[in-house]
Formats: sequence, structure tokens, C-alpha cells
Amino acid sequence: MTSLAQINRIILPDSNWQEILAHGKRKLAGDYLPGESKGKKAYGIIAGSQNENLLEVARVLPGKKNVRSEEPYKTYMDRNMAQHAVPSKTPLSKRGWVIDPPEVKECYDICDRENLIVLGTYHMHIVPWEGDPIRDTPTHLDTVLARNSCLFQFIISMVDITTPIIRAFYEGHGEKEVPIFIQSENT
Amino acid sequence: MPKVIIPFSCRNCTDNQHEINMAGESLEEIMEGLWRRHPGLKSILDDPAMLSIFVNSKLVTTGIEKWDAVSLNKEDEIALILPIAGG
Repeated sequence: MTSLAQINRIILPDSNWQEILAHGKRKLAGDYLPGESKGKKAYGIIAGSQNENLLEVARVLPGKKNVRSEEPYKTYMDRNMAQHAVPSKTPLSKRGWVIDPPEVKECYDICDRENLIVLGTYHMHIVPWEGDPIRDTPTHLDTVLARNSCLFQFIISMVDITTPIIRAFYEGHGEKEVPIFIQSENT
Repeated sequence: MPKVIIPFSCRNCTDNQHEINMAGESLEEIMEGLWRRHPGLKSILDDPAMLSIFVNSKLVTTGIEKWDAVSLNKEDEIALILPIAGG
């Protein structure tokens, strides 16, 4: 199978795009599921299939529990934040997310059962930065955290929730963007 | 022989093998054997303290401190899970 690094097109069914948007909007509204970490962070795993240089999204698996403040992840994230995060109005200790490993394992098990592969991860950006009002690209920290993942990082800009944007970057590298085609199920 | 499931991001270090059978009676033996057989794995899993290890779908350890304390049976399935994180 071709490496995900060779992908040149991603098909995202509109229903999956709507799932991602609903996840983001729900978190922004402070409407949490049982057992879900509080906070305006929406992140998860995107799974699907690969056909040569084309990826087709088939599943959105939202992350629920954020273990960013639990050890050993806290030390790992604090270190990366201190080294790589661009200061913003959100304190470093409140930034970042780590999906609870049992949830990650569960997602991988779902993929195995449904004969899907993990294509990447998604997370939303909601705070405009000076010089970057849309926030639809990976931050330096995003790139560092996606290093060697061999996965796509899908960035969801929800700075303006009326005009959300999704873009995909291999291993979170700004120069390794692959176009996403949102496909209506009726087409 | 216990079977190790290799994370997606590490399969380029294992000739794209998804599952590897490894001889060993403890997690420590298995992991040391894995590093020896596929040295590239150790550099990708550059922070073993961040590695979560599941045996038969049960989380047994995050980090390296308990590897010698985890004994294994030959039918066990070991899954290595790397953290998924973002900023």
C-alpha cells in the first residue's frame, strides 16, 4: 500500500464533515457528554480507506477524555508547550490535549473490526491570533506533536463558526497540505 | 509466542509488518527483543515513557517502570499505543 505521504486527494463525505462540526459546536456551547472532559476543545480520530493516492473518510471518532493534565502526559505536554508553543491569551497549562490511550485503543479496534485505517487526527482552533485571524493551519506545536505520526492532521478553523474551514496536512507540516473535497452523499 | 501489534507510525521500521511474534516471558524481554530486531523502532518511540502498552486489550502500563513486572503467556496480544495529542 502507498504511504499516506503520497496521498494527493482526500474525499470527506458531507455527513462526516457535519459530525466534526457538530462536535466542535457542542463543545463550544459547553454541552458535554457523560465522561467527557470539559473545555472548548474538540479533537478526535479520522478513519477511512485508501485507494492508491486517494483517501476516503468513512468514520469520525471523537475523543472524549483529555488526559493532558495527568502524568506522564502533563510533563510531556508542559515540556513541549514551553519549547514550542506560541504565546496566546490562553495560558499554556490550559492548552493542548491528549486522547486517553484506552480510547485510542478502542478507536483502533473499531478500525480493525470495520476494515478501516486511521487516516489522521482532527482538532479545532477557535482563537484568532494577531497575524493569523483564521487559524486554519497547524501551529509549530501542532507540527511537533504530529512528528513521525505518518498520519494527517486535520485542522478545523472555528474562529468564525458560521464559516468553518477544514484543511489536512501530512504530519502537521504546513507545506504538506492535501486538498479535501467535501462530497454530498447525493452526488 | 506473544504477538506484538505495531503502531501505524512505526511500521516503516518493521518492513510494514503489522504483527510480530516475539519470544519472551515478560514485557521487558519482549520489548528488548523488539528493539534488537528493529532498532529503528526505538528511535521512533523516542520517549518510551509515553508509550501505553495493552495486553489482551487491557492497559497494563504507561511508561517503562513496570515492564519487568508484567509476565506474559504465549497467546498474549500486546498492543503498543502512542499518545495522540495536539496543541
